[in-house]
Amino acid sequence: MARNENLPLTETTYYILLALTQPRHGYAAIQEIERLSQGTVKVAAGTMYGAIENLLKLKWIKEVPSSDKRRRVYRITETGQSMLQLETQRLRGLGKLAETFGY
Amino acid sequence: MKKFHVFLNLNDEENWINTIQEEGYRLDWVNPFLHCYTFQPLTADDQFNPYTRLDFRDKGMSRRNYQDYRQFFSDSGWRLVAGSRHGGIQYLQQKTMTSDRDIFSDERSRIRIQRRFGRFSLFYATFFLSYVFAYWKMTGSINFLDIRNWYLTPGLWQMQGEWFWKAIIFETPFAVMRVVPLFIFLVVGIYYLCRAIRNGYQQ
Repeated sequence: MARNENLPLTETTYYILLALTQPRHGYAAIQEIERLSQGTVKVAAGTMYGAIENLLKLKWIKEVPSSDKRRRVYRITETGQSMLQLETQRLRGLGKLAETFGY
Repeated sequence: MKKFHVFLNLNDEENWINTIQEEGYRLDWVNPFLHCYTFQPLTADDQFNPYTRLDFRDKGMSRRNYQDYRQFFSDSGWRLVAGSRHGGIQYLQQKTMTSDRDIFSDERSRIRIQRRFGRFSLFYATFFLSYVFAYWKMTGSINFLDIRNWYLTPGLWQMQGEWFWKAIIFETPFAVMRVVPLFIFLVVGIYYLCRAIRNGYQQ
């Protein structure tokens, strides 16, 4: 079975897609990722900005209208959701495989 | 305090700025055309030595997107000291002691910025050097290092005495106008080429 060429995702990308299942601006996404990972993943601003630009180009996230005039707000697209789905399946598969080895 | 310095590499520039800041200064303004850096001594109000980090934009941004860019960095604890929405290096400085130490949290994104800077430099190097080459070919491949070739007036170098000097004084501004842009383009082209090489191969 051929694997999607964009997989595997980086940990940062995976977290960003999870955070943007709700509409959020960039800094809110950084904070949400820190919360979701219990403080273990702290994405720096420049890295986040580059990742958002990249995901917008891939059309995995899109900008959505908001009342905040100073901040752009983003949300995951259907393509993004299916990538998240594929990657989760891949991770689950890895987890199951490791289990058979007793881990 | 004003300092002039030309850099070929983003990391060198960033390290240089931070070394000066550690001596008790804060980067206050950068003029990218004159390569002039203005530093202010830290005052009693500044409670820490800030770090300054460099981001590089190869494309211009709309007013709205640049507003978002600044706001996003400001939310994350970074103040934009200098930079333009039309692209180029953006100088970001820690706002408080609790701000992150760096604007990148992985090597990938740092390298991406360097590559972008290298690619941008290569584009301009190609542009300026092609112009110089095309101009040189168009003028019949003459040797511009020989000052006599700068003048177009026929028979100028055969004139005698007073006439020669009058002609030279009259013709020199035209000759300079013809040649100076060419040399400027050559120097700028070589500068961009060096930048492209220094950033393209440093991984």
